[in-house]
Amino acid sequence: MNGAWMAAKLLRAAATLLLAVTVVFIVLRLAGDPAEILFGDNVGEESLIRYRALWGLDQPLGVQYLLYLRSLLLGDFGLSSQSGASAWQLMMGRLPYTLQLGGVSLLLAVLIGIPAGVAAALARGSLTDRVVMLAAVSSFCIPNFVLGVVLILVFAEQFGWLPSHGTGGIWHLVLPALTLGTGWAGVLARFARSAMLEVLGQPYIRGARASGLTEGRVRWRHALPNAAIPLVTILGFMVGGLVAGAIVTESIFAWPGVGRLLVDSVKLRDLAVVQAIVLMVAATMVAANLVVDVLSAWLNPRLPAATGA
Amino acid sequence: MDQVTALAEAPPRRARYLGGKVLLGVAVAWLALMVVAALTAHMIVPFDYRATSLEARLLPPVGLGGEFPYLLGTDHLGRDILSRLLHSIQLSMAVALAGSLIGAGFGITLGFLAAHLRGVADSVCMALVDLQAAMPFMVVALGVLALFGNNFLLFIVVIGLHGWERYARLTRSLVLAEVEQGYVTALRGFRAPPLLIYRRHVLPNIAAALIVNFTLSFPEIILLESGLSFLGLGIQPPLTSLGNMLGFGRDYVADAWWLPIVPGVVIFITTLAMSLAGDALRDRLDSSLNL
Repeated sequence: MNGAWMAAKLLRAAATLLLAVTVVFIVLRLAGDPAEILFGDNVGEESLIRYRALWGLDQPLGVQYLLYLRSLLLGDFGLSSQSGASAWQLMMGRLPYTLQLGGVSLLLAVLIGIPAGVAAALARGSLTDRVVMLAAVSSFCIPNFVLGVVLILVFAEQFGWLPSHGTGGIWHLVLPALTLGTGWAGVLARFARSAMLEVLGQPYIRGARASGLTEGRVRWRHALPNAAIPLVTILGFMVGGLVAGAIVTESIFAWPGVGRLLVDSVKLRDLAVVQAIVLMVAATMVAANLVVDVLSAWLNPRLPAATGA
Repeated sequence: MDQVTALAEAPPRRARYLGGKVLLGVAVAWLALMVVAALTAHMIVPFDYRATSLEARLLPPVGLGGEFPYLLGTDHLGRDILSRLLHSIQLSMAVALAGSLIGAGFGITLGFLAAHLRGVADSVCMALVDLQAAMPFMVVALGVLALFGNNFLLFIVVIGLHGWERYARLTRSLVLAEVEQGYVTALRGFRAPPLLIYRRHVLPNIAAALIVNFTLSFPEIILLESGLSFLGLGIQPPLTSLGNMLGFGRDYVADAWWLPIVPGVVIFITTLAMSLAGDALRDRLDSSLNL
């Protein structure tokens, strides 16, 4: 991988992040005077002026923008208007729960989706193929909020096998992870199938077969690793979109993650917390994009980035 | 026939291995039913969707212990679920349609502007498009709702923001290709004003691709509306939408499972049908478009 390509990628990521921060700043200012939003008509003009001075709101917009950037760089995302705690710390306190739920769901999706997709590709046109693809399309057409409610109805209410909400032991994780993982498994199965089919159609596979390799060796040693390259891309985006993907699921199962914190904060209009989470999601997405680019260049030496062409 | 030649001879068509024409027919029939329900809901409902009845609370659907005339049962306030369902379909479809049109209008306009102005304006537009494409839309929508509070009109605008970036990117690239065509050069030679060229001549030529994009984003918008309403951040009572019905029904899942299941099933079948029909439409309309 050459240095200029890396530098360009990094620069682009930084520019995207700066654009995101700028858009958030502009929208926040468009929404009105933060001091007035926060205090409403409850305080006098004097206090408003004092707070504006305290927060630098009496400065020109350009200066305010620089102050805003500085505070973000220092990790200061403001204080929650509800609890008075630091928005950053509130968010970080919830992050482990989201990572736990997301990690288990993603693992589930990989373990089910990829083998199913590969099996479908190897048996192209067969009954297995049809069943797998119908299941895949159904699984990502069923929204999390429908699947979650159905799972609660069946496994928590009817049979009473599993807890329907909250945290506790490993059993609390089963229903939310199934809800979140099913859709991802469907997406992975579809991508695994098409990636595998594409690779199996390549001349080098025909060459490998012609050189007398066993079908098993052709499939697992030559086809699968190449088919894995686009899957890494999809997985990278799934990891990047974890917080956003978990919003609905966390709310259904009262799972105390970042997604649920976001929904609660939106309802209470706790802007500092919402802003911290939105910026965190933006930063995660930018980072995921970057990692996916670098990873696929490393995995696939034929891409122009790797050769410097 | 080995796999290589099989691949060469039969380009993958999803509609085929999904069960073929029968399934597609069922999907289209379901969508037609939804459209009819959305158009006529206010005329065919058996009850006022807001009318409560204390004697008829939490009745199960007919056939499961319920009684006529409450075909799909009643909710915790004794409101007829079939009537609420029909009104929900109507409102969900209307909001999704309004949102789609706003997103399409905004994105297409921006795409034309970027292609026309080029230079810095183009770069700024495309940077915004990239940013929007990188952000999960649910988070953006929640951010806007937190900032400006929730009311019906704002909610439709938020829904409308979904997918504008795809229209903008698509329109820009199509327009850039189209203005290289001979007919645009000829029109410019006649000194036709740019707006006239774009509206009367270029737009009709790129419409097919934009319509395909519309079919792609419509089910996503229905899901977005349902999701936000389910979370209690979208359509507010006394109005009712599919997500809102499901969200409130969830609290009664232990005693009255039909409350969340009826709207849930409708959402699921509708998105599945749209996905199947959309794929078939795309296969037929233009297989060359790589969306």
